[in-house]
Amino acid sequence: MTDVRFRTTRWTLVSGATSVDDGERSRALEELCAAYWPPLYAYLRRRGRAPDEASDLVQGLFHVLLERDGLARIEARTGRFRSWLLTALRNHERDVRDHAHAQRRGSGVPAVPIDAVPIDAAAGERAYQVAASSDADPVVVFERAWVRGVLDQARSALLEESIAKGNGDLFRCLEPTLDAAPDREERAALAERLGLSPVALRVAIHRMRERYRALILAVVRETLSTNEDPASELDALLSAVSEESHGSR
Amino acid sequence: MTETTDPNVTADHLRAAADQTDDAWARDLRERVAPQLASLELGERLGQGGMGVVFRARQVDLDRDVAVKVIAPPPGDRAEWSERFEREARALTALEHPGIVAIHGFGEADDVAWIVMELVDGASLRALMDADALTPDEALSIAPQLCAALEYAHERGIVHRDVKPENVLVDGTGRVKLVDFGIAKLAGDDAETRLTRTHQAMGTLRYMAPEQLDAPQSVDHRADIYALGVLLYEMLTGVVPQGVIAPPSKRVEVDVRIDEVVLRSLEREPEQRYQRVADLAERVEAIRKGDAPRQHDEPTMDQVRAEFLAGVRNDAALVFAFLLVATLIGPRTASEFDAVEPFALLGAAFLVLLSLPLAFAFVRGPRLGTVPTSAVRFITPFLMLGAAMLFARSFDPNEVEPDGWMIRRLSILSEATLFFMIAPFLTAALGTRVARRLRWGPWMQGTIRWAGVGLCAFGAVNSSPAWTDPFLWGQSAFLLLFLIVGIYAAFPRDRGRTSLGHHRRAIVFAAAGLVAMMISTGVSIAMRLFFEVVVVESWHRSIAYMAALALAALGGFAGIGSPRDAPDPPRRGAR
Repeated sequence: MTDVRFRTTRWTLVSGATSVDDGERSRALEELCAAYWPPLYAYLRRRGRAPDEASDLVQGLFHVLLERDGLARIEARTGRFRSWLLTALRNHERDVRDHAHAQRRGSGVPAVPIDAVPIDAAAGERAYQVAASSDADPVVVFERAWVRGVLDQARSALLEESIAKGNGDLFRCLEPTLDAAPDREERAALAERLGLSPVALRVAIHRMRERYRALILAVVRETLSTNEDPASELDALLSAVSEESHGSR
Repeated sequence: MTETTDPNVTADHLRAAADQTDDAWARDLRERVAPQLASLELGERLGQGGMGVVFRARQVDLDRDVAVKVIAPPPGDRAEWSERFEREARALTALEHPGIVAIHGFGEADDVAWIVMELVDGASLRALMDADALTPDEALSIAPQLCAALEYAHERGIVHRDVKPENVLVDGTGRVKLVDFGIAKLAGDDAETRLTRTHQAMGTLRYMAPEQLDAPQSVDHRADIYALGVLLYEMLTGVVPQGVIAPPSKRVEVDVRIDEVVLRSLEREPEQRYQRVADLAERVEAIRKGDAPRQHDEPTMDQVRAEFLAGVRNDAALVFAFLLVATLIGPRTASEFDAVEPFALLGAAFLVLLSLPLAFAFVRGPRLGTVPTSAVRFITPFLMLGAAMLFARSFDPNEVEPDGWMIRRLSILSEATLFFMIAPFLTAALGTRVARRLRWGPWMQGTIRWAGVGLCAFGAVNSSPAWTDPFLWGQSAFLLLFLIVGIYAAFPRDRGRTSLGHHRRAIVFAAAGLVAMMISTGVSIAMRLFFEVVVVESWHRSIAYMAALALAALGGFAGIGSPRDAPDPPRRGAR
């Protein structure tokens, strides 16, 4: 554990607030992109793009960011990766449109994007379906898919951590409790299965939940520069989700 | 991995994650303390209370995770506070118990103080209760562990002062650990500061014993017992007791015997509560193990001790005092000790023998928590009987009447008086015990009580003094007074439960008896109706006589019992 005040987040690395070489910066950016492409995909789909088109645009963006001049475009101390990424996508959309116009006038060759980041269209579709609701604005869809991305990462990290600590089985048994608090009977069954006392089981559930939430916070922090308050980013994400929870009732 | 897409669950997670971030205060404290703790890497915020913030931290050199409580010293006299902080912290460092979070170190700087302690990787009881109500079994499995930890600290003279769910941590194995011993003391002691502090501190108030609000300086370990009662109540019912407290068994399905344990811990007066955590723990364990409710209707020596402090049990002390007076004054004013009949000596020996276990019970202390009161009750009437007989026998026959018949009459007098005084006790107290034991209804218990009152009235009629005759209303007034006091004494239940209430009936009765006897002996002792007894013109004898009567009255009527004394066995299903 490093002191959280001085912890360097991935986004801090990317945005060049610390002095690291470009290789490290672009590696960090690649990791972030790999984790957060589904929200971009969902955003584009919501904007009416076809699945293929959406994949190509995302891939094209990453190509630009990672292979060409992406790092140069990032200003030092840029606040949130999320806002930056969405802006980058919008700019890229515009660039592509301009480019297409230019092409029609007969200059240049269409860029053949190399897969900068592996994109799984089926997964993208799932993310889109989950985040989209009939009345949702594309930005809201983007944010909701972002939240899913955060939760997924946190959960994967939790799984890894549990396996590393030799608690893989415990994780698998208790994982459903993250999504729905177990009732008394379920707890009794779990306690018996795991050979824990009722109180110990409660603690185990609570601990896992807390750890999950700490990891959510950690994941969110990775997308923020050091001086940014994770609470306000979480609030922003929360408001996207809250709209959804109201809408679903 | 399968994940729900329930937005409400997601929102909960996000909210909770945001809660783990530092707020302004935590950030402030973190910045203040970080430069002071070079060997520690501060991690996330674990919790926050009225006094400070707790951070997870890594102790790099020792390669262990710890918790650091960072405290902002309250405004005011800093030197005085620092001294107190150091004293408290040092005392806490000495606490080594599996149920108490260990203190590794502490320190302070200009604007901040900190305590480095063992990190408990688990959950607070508050968090567990918030997640879902505890089952009674879970609650009862936590309580004894808490008791053990508190008992350990109390034995070392350390009072927690802030027992509440937030300060009870449960680790991954279900073991309970208490944290923040004595910390409340550092927050500024007067109730006013407490009342004006944040809502967290307000939450704490609900666990505070009444005396902790009135006189925080003089709080003892029984304040923790009160808080433990609140905690137990909350664990069982999910709510904090307030106002008129409904027994837990009326709110949730739980062993009715737990009611007594909880309500007794929640008594306003510290004397009325359990006097040791061990006693409480013992009851909880007994209930948990499903022991027969035998112990329930049997008040224990622990309760008796409590009442001794409340004044009721002073009858024992008075027996001793009177014994002393009777043996020293009585015979000496006669014609030295040789005049004392052998019977008196025998009586004295008998008394001493009987009082030994009683004295032993008081001296031995906590371990006698389970000595049943019936044993003590059994002894008490004999003590009083013996004391009065000793008195009666200590008169010198030569001094009274030339023909020597006085001694016979006096002994008759004493024994008659004894009968009238002891009879209510035997009827009301022992009779009520039997009635309770046999689980007779309140009507039967009432009847027995009234029989005691009736006997008391009978005694009054038979001992009304001759001097009341000339006055038209004198005798009636005397009888009425006697009767009123008797009835008053017989119904302590209706007069509230304070120690004063206990006290009052005994004192009033004794005083009434004393005054009545003083008047009757002072004017001219004559007992009408049954015994036409003659004058005893000697003040010290009169006083001894009065003392004996008062003693008998006091002991007898104190023995009638009170709700604390012998709680009614709650009947299942009775609402």
